[in-house]
Amino acid sequence: MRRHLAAFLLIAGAAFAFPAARDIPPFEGIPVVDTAGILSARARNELNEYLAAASEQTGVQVAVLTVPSLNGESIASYGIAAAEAWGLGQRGADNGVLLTVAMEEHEVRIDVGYGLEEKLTDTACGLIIRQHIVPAFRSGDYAAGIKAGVEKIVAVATDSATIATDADPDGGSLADIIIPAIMFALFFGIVASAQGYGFLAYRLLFALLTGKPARRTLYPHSAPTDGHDPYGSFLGGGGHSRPGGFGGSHGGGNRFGGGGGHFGGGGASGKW
Amino acid sequence: MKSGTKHMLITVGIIAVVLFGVYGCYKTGYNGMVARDEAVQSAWAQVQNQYQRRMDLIPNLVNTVKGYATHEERVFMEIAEARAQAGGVVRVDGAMLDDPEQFRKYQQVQDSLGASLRRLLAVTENYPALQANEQFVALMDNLEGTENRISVERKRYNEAVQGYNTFIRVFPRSIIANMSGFRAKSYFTAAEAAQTAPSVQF
Repeated sequence: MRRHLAAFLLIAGAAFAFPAARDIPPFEGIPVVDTAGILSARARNELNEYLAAASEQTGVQVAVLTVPSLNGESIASYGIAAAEAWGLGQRGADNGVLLTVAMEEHEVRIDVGYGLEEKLTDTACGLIIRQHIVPAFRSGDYAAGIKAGVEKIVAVATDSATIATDADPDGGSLADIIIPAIMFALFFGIVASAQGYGFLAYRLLFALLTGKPARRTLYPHSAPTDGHDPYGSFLGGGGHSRPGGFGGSHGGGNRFGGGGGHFGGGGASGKW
Repeated sequence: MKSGTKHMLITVGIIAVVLFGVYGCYKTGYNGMVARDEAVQSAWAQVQNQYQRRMDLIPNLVNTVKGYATHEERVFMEIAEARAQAGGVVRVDGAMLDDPEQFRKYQQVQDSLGASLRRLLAVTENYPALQANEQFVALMDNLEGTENRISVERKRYNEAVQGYNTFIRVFPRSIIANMSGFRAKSYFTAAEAAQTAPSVQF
C-alpha cells in the first residue's frame, strides 16, 4: 500500500513537472539553432561569430533558437526549458540569455538567466522585443529582427561593451593548431632521430597527431605501468592527455559552451 | 569456560557489527533527509520571494490603472482585499509546509490574488489609452515576468518536495523519518483550479 502510494506520488509529481511532450533541439556549442530555417547561412554565420565573440569577451552567452511550432506549449515554459537544458551562461554567474522565436504562433521570447535579471529587466526585454524585434518581423525580415534584438541584448547585458569579431570568420581554428603541431613534430623528429632517439620521435608524432600517447604498440614489454612515463612528460601529463584534443568543436565551438547557468523565468514575451 | 568466553566474544562482535550497521544506516538516512529538507526550504524561499515581488507590484499597477479607468471601483476594492489577505500570510516559516491545511490556505489566498489581478487586467482591455501608456506597458512586462517566475519557482518547489517525500517514505528510512519528525510536505496544485468557477451540483 505504502509502496503503491510512493509510486503514485512519483508518477503524479513527474506528470506535473513535465506537462507537455516537448522537443528541444540539442545544443552543440553553436549559439544560433535555426530549426525553423528562417535565416540564410550568411546571416547565421554572422550571428554565430558575433555571439561567440561576445561570449568570449564578456562571458555573457546569448543564444538564439527558432522553432517551427511550440506544439501547444506556452513560449514561456518552452523557453526556460530550452535555456536550462542548454545550460546557457557560466555556472554561478548565470549570465545566459535565450532568444526564442516560434514561427507558427508568431511569438518571440527573451529568457534571462538569474545573474542578468538586474540589467535585462522584464521591462528592458519587453522594450527590446517591441522596438527592435517585432517591427522587422512584421515586415518579414527575421534576420534583421534577430540581429537587432541580440545586439541590443548584448549591449544591455554588458553595459554596451564593444564586441570585436574576427576579421576572418572562417579561418579554421583546427588548421591553426594542427599545422604548427606537425611542423614542430617533424622538426623535433628529425633532430631526435639524428641523435638516435627514433622511438621518441615516433611517439611524439603519434601523440601529436592523434591526441593519445603511443604505448604498447612497439615495445609492449617496456610500456611503463606506474604512470611515471619519462616520455609522457613531453605531452604534459603522460597517459592523461585528453583524447581527441583537436577534434570535435570547430570554428568557435570551444568559445561557446553551455556552462551550466540557471534561469528563473525572468524576461519577456511578445507577438508579431 | 574457554568456549563460553569464545561464544561471548562472538556475540559481542555480532552485536557490535549490527549496531554499527544500524548507526551507518541511520546516519546516511538522516543526513539525506536534512539535505533534502534544506532543498525544499530554499525552493520555498524562492516561491515566497516571487509572491512578495508580485505584492510589491500591485500598488503601482492599481494607481496607473486608476488614472484611466475611473469607474471600476468594484475591481479595485476586490484586489485591495485580496492583497490585504495575502499580505497577512505572505511570510510564513517552513514549518507550514508540514501542515497540509495551512499550506492549502496559503495557496488559496495567493491564487485568489492572482485571480483578482487577472480580472483587473481584463478590465484594462476596455481602455485603449491605458494600453498605450508606456508605464502601464512596463508594469505589464513586470507582472507577466513575475507570474512566470512564480510558476517556475512553484514547479521547482514541487520537484524538491517530490524528492524529499519519496526519500522519506522508502523503508527503512520511513522509520528514521518517523523517529526524527520528518513529515511529508505539501505540493502546490495546478493553479487552474482557482480560475475555474465552482461547479453547481444538483
